[in-house]
Formats: sequence, C-alpha cells, structure tokens
Amino acid sequence: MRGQALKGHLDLLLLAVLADGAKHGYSVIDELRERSDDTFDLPEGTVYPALHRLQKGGFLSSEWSEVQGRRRRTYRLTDKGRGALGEQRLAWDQFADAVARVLKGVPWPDTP
Amino acid sequence: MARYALIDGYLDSMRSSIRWRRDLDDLVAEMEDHLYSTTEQMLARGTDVVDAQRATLARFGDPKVLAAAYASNHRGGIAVPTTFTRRAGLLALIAGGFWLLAGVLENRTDRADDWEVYYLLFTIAVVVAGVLTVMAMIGLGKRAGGLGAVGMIGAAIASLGVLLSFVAWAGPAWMGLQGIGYLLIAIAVLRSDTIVPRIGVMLVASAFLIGPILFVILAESEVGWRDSYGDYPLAWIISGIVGYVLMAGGLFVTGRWLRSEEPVDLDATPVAA
Repeated sequence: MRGQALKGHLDLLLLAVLADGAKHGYSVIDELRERSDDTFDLPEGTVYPALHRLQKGGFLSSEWSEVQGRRRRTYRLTDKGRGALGEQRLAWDQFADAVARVLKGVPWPDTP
Repeated sequence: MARYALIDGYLDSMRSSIRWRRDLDDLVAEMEDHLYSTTEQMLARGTDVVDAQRATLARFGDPKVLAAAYASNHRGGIAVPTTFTRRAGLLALIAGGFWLLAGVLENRTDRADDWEVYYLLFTIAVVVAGVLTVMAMIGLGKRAGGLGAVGMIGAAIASLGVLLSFVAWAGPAWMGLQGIGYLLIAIAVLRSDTIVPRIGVMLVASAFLIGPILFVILAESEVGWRDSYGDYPLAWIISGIVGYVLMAGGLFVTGRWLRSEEPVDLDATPVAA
C-alpha cells in the first residue's frame, strides 16, 4: 500500500500494534507488515518520526535498553494512547461500516 | 559487534542530514539498531553480507525523504537551514549593530546642545533596529520549523512595539511591547525539536524586559540626579544601556549561528509519517 494512502491511518495502526505490549521500532514495523499480509509495506524509516510524534503527544512512552552492544528504544502505549486508540477504532469502524453500506449492492464493474 | 560498512556510511550520511536535531544521538542510535537488526536477520537467512545491507537500506527508505520527515516538526513546518534563514542571520547581526548605535545616540540626546538632531538619529536607529530584529526573529522561527500561534502573536506584538518606537522617547513602552513579543517568539522557538542558539535567543527574549523593569526600579529608587522634567536620567541611561547591550549580544550570537549553517536542500516530501 502506498504511503499516501496510509496517511491519516498510520497513527491508529501504530497504536493498535502497540496495544499488545511494549515493542521496539523494528518489531512494530515487522508486526505491521505481518498483520497486514505485507499490505502495509512502507519505507521503514518513515515510521520512526510517527512514533516520535505520538510520543511527543503523550500517546506513547519509551525507554532505552542495551541489546547486543546497541542502544534500543522500546515504545509503550500510555493511558492517553489507549484512550485515543479506542476513540480512533470506533471512528474507523463507523467510517468503514458507512462505506460498506454505500457499496453494498453495487455490482463490480467489468474489468477490461 | 560486527560492523557493516554500507550501513555505517548511511548512518554517517543521516547524521549529517539531521544534524540540527536536538536528539540527534538518540535518533541515530535507533536507526542503527533497526538497520543492524534487519541486516543480521537477513544474514541469518543466508543472504550475502553486501546484498543484505543493500536490501536493508532499500527497505529503510530514501535518506532525503527521511531527513525531510525528521525535519518536520509538530506544526508541520520543516526545520532546516535555508538561504532565507542565513539572510535572517545577517539581519540579526546588522540589527545588533543598530541597537548599540541607538544606545550611543540616546546618551547624546540628553547631553548635546544639538539634541534634536541626535533625537532624530536615535529614533531612526531604534526603528531600523526594531524592524531588522523582528525580521531576524521571524527567520529564526522559520529555522525552527515555523512560529506557530504563540510565535505569530509574539511577532505581531513586537511589530506593534516597533511602530510605537517612532515615538522614541516612550522607551519603556515600546521596549516592553517588543520584549513581550520577542519572549513569545523565543518560547515558540525553544519548544521546537531543533537545535537553536539558546543563549542568544534567551538574551533577545529577556533584554527588553530587563531594561524597562530596571528603569522602573532605578526611577522608583530615585537613583542619580533629578532633571527639570522630574525624571531620573541616570535610571534611563543605565536601563537603556543594559537593554541595548543584552539585545545586541543576543542578536550577535543568534546571527552568527544562523550564518554558520550551510543551507540544506530538502525537496523531498515526507510520506506517511
């Protein structure tokens, strides 16, 4: 899926991936790709600014550890992030449901 | 720990591209962990070491796009040095000179016989210095990724102060207004993620607040002689000198810093993030 199509939904997806527990950036991206069957395969580096933005907004917290001689940052959902995830999930469900109702009964166009 | 030359070269390049970030070391450490983890995972699957690095970097993304994404602040602005911000640095340096000149001329208005001429020159100096300072501070705001609402209000208040400085004798009033304006701009700039010349910005922010406050304290303390208008010229002179010197110092530091940065070409548009 192209990055532009993801715009606006990335925050919700990142919050959702982190809802299970703390993860570092690499496993967030890995899980995003895995759960979407490679549909959300965006440039991996662009996910980090989004994680930082969410952290700055108070939706995530992070802590550093040392793994194999490297510094690793792990992100965790805050209470505010959990609340935002619930709200955004509800909004998404309502939106997806509305789109599905509009499309229901519309025949698929013939493919050339 | 094994080192991978291609990855390290990429990290060096990114370090240079996002060098204005205050959290530079953390960002690079996080990228390093990601790139090394990906490469090692590919190596474990039997991929050639060079191919693994190339594939890792391709997945991570175009460095220019990433640098643009890292330069974007929470207000959506891009915080990078540009030709515009370098010019703002030059304006800051010139403004600093004009404030010092204003300090010298103000001192002459009280002592010289032809004080009217000095008063006119003093008025011109403070107006020019004020205009240049506001422009320089807007440039600094641009360098920090935009002024935001607080900074814009600050720029408007400072501009009002500059307008009022046409009535140059009303020093505490126009100084106070400009001081409040520069303080708000400084708050906007210091809250950004980017590195800024903190000491310079704080000097500019405080100079015209300290000056008027000092004037009130000295005048209320009846420091020095009392002139025929019932004022205390020494209070005026001391507070003015302190204000102008602090302002000039702050502008020199800020201007030199803005001038020292090479403009960055970031034409890529951040995606997704």
